Amino acid sequence: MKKYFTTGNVIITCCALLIAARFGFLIKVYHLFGNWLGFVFTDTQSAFRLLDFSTADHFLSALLIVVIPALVFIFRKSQVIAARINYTNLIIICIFFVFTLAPLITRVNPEFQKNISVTKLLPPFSKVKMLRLKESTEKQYSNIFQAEKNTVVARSFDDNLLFVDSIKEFNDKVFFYQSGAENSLEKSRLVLNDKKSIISKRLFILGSDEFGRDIFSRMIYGARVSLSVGFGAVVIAFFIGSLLGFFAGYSGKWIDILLNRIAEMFLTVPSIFFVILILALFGNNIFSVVFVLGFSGWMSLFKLVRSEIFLIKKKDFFISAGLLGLKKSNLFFKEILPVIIVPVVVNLIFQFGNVVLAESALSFLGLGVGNSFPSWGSMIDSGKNYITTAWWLILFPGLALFTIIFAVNSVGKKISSSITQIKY
Amino acid sequence: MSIKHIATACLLIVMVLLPAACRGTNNSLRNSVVIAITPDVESLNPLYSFTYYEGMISELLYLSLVQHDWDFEQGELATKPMLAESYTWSDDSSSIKIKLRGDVFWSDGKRVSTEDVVTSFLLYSNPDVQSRFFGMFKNFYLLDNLTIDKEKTFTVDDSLEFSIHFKESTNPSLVDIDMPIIPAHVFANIPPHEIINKEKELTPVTNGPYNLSSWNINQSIVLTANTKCFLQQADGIKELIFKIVPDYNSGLIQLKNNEINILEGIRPADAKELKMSDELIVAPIEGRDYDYLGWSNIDVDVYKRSGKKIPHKLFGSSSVRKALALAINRQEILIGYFNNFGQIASGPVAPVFKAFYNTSVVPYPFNPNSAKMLLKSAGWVDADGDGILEKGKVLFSFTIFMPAGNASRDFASTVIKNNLKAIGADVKIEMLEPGVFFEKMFNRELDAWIAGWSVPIPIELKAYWHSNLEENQLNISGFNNAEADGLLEKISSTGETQQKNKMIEEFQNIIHQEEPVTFLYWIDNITAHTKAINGIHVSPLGVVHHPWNWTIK
Amino acid sequence: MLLKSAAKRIFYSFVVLFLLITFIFFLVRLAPGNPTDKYISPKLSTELAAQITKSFGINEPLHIQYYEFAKNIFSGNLGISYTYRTPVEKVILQFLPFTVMFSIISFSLQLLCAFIFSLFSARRLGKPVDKLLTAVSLALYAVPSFFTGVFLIYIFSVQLKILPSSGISSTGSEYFSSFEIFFDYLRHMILPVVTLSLSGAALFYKYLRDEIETVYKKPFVGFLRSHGYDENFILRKHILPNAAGPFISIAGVELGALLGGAIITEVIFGLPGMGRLTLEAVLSRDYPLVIGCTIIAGVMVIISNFLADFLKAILDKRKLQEGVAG
Repeated sequence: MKKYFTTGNVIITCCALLIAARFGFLIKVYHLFGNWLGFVFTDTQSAFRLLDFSTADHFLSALLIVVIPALVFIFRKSQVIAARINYTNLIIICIFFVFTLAPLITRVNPEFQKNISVTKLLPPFSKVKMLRLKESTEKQYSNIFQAEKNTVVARSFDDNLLFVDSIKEFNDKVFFYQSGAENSLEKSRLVLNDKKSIISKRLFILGSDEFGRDIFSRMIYGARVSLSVGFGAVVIAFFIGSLLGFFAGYSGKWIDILLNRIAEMFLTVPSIFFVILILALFGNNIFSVVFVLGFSGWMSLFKLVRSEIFLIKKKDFFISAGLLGLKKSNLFFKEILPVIIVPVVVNLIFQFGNVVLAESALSFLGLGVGNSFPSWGSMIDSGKNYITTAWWLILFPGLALFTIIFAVNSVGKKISSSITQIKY
Repeated sequence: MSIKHIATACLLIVMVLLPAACRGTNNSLRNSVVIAITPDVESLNPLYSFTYYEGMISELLYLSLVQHDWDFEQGELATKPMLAESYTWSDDSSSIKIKLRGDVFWSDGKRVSTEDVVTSFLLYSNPDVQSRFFGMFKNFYLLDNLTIDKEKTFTVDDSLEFSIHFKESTNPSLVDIDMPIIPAHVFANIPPHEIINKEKELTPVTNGPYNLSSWNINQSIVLTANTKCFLQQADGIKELIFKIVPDYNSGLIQLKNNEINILEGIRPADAKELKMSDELIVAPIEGRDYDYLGWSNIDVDVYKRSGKKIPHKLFGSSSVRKALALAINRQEILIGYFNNFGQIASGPVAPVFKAFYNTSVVPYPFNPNSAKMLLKSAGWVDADGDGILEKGKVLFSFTIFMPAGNASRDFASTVIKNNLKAIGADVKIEMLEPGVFFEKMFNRELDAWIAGWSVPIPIELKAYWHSNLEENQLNISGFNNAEADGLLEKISSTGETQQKNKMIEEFQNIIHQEEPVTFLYWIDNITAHTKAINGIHVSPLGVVHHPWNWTIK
Repeated sequence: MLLKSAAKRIFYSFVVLFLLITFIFFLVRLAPGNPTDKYISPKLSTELAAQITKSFGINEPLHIQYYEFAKNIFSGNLGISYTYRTPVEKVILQFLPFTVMFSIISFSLQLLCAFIFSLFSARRLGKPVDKLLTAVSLALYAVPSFFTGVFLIYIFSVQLKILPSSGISSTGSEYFSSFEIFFDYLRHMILPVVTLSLSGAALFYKYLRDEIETVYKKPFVGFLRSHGYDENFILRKHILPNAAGPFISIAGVELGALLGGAIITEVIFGLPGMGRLTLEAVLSRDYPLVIGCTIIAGVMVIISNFLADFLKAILDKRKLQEGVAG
């Protein structure tokens, strides 16, 4: 049993399943990528201008889906990959997949909405009828790459698609109904699907929100935002906290006193204060939210690093290293970092959980990352207005948030308990 | 302590509390009405009642010379005497003679007299008092510091009769004398600059149909009927309780649980459910508030540097602005969010003003194709095929700013973003904290933004659309049109109603041709109240209007 | 010696606090937004905005404003709130008593729950019940409090209709007897206190349980056990005092934060507390009130940290010097 359920095998299986499910789509992406590569050699400048974020995202995930299994296979002997799968690892794998392969997991743009009256607030597993209009014959794009891109990369709007409640066919005309309103169009303008019918259906697997946007897609892309906010904030906290802590601990004397007072100053007042002020100062976009959450978390790291360094400074190996004439930076990387890295990482992991939570609280106060990106926090926040009518708006992002925090905390706890065992 | 003990304790607590819970509150038995208000009520003194609810409550405590009703036929204010028993304009309309009622008394027993009226006017216009009407007495004789010139303005005949003389070549109306009167014997003894900070320590001396019974900061304000007031009827409501409800959702729950009787600003999504209730009447106040998508018509940098107005590089041409209006599916927002509680706006004049609302102006329909054509004709084409329009080297790319924390604008911005992307604009939406947003907006630092205006009664247009930007700071889009300027100047100097209404209709035509901003929609203020209250007439003047006429079934 | 180091510590704390309010003073004034923006409206004249700007004194250069401010602070004058138009200390006094009471009730509840459940777990370390409790505590901790609040309202106010959803008194409570007022108040406090306490209690539980687990692993416990001491005796006399130290620090920080105001709970339940006051002061750019709220929050944190250290010192005499002076 143990042999088959290793982390590596799970990863490879997931990749294989995903490739199988999205095979046709992957081929299209590779084709587009080939086109683009050709473009790079002929007209480098416009090639890079045409490469927007979501296209690059598609290319990257199409590459990664092949590279990841290969890498796993190469490193199959390593301890982490050969280990038996458990809850925490599984969650981390899921997070990693969602983070890197979002365009392959869902093909719906998270901002896509059309015919709100038909698609809003659908419960999970709803299917909606849709009509597809023929592309206008007028050539829209002079550029072949652009035309192909539009068929591959999902956009947030689509002129040729109509969601309807029901239709009636009458000679050459099709009458369709959208929440009571009747409209009609020529049958010849519609595309037939595989079954020779004009009606196709779209599945909203986790339902839709008040704009008729697909919740599953928003969850997948929202994971990126929420996790990036978490990572970004933790990295910022790490840099500020450990650098200042290092200086304070290493130099001692008045620098230490000064920095210590500053840290106390920031600890004295609830961070919400700074958060509101700084968000007001820089506007509440995603970068300032990341900055603000990182900035309000550096003090605990500072204290930790500082006190660790005070301890190290008294130890023999450090004193002898100093006597040997090692440079300051060398001292930091060779002697101090290895010793403090474990408690610091544990602290960061716990902070990560807090930051992801704090982002959702900020959304509640109307100071979140805004509505340009989906984030779990803002999804929960907007869902609370529909708690009596549409529970799925709040349940799924809430569950996701809980799962992540649970996983992250257990990782932190595992590491910290393994250190405790070393110590005693 | 074991788990058992705790469980027993919890059970005990629940048993004690449940009876208290089931008893509930029955407001109709005590003949009182509970009205939900927002927490921004900081002063009940009419001098400083800046916000909507402050104004509403202070007008129940202090009487004005005149009172208003809404004339639904004409779509206009109908004004009647209130504290004044009668008034007569002089032949040339330059002065008004007012006779006060003799039966109105302050809550400390003193009779309301001309002295109170004169003192009130002087205090309202005194710069040291910083009242909400300071600087608004443009039709009066003023001293250098903008205080009303007492000598030239007032002639007092006796304690109940006096005249007000207005400045020559102005166009005075009853609106100029419409403000709550405050007691002279209380305020005359306080140095004017101290009033603003001392006003809260004074026991309110009022003359209105209600007395302030208690004010529990951040919880509730209780008014009791002043039975001596001439407005009160025998079977009127004895008590008005204004309950502060800071969170919308809990307000809604309290309305359903009959903890509050009147709630304004109901979200359209909830109106449907409330309508099902047997105990509630849901009534929309036809909107005087509109949201708009603002475009900077002029290049602000150049204007700030040199004062010259050159057209904005993106939104300077009226055909681009029309194209933007055509590209936005306002109907979908109106149905999707507002459940049709509102209507698409075509200009800055609200449809409730029936007398001069120009019905021949039809809003631009949603038509992305003609939007694209219009943009093409204005020189915006996607030459390099990247999906974004450009004109020469300028990309059709911009950020729309909006204040955070407004659910309807959040909704609208999501639809607008997708609509504009579909016609080839590269749009980003950025939400700003409201304080930041409004400062940037008033300083003209934004090129495109979503905001809203509330149209005052009587209507004011010049401040928003006249091209003298120094004087009219609310013309934020920098709209400048000589013809419109001429009309606006004439409108404010004309007294004759028919002529004035014609000009306002004409003005709406010009605005529609120029489409300086994209007018989105008029938003109904949806209110709900308990059926048990008789006599509520929901009008553009609000739901809590003349509550002394209400009774409880 | 002890008194001197305590005094020194308090002195330093207040120096830090003064630095902090200086920092906030400049930050709020440099931040975009203007307290007079709300006076720009078609219903108000431009002259009024100018007059109000003048009376606030915010058109003076920053250093002059700061000089005035510092002078006033040391004479105990916090200035006049821009929105409430009354002295800042009076405004704060309207909000502070509620916050103090609310946070102390919630804090005691958190402590109580944490103690009961962690003692319960301590006897069953590693057993399924303990694992379940840990998972539940993490779950409670991971649920955002605005979600808890809205959810509780939905269950108890909307569906069951047994508890009020906002405010601290029912309408018409003026006619209640004092007994009724007390129970009315109690009924209003149930949902907010539960909302505020859940995540804190979960956090406390986790901390205390983990500390207890850590202490259990220390060699001296094995030593005591091998000498035949009773498990209960070990837990009460040795484990708990050792585990309490780090826990008290955490609890001190938490209490300070609570006393500074619980913004989200106050907003959901419409409670008149410091959190909402602070938020509104910042959003309306009421500079003197922002400073006032900062001072209160700062003083609360200082006091509760000091209390925590003091308590720790009593519990562990060896740490006396270190704890108070550190």
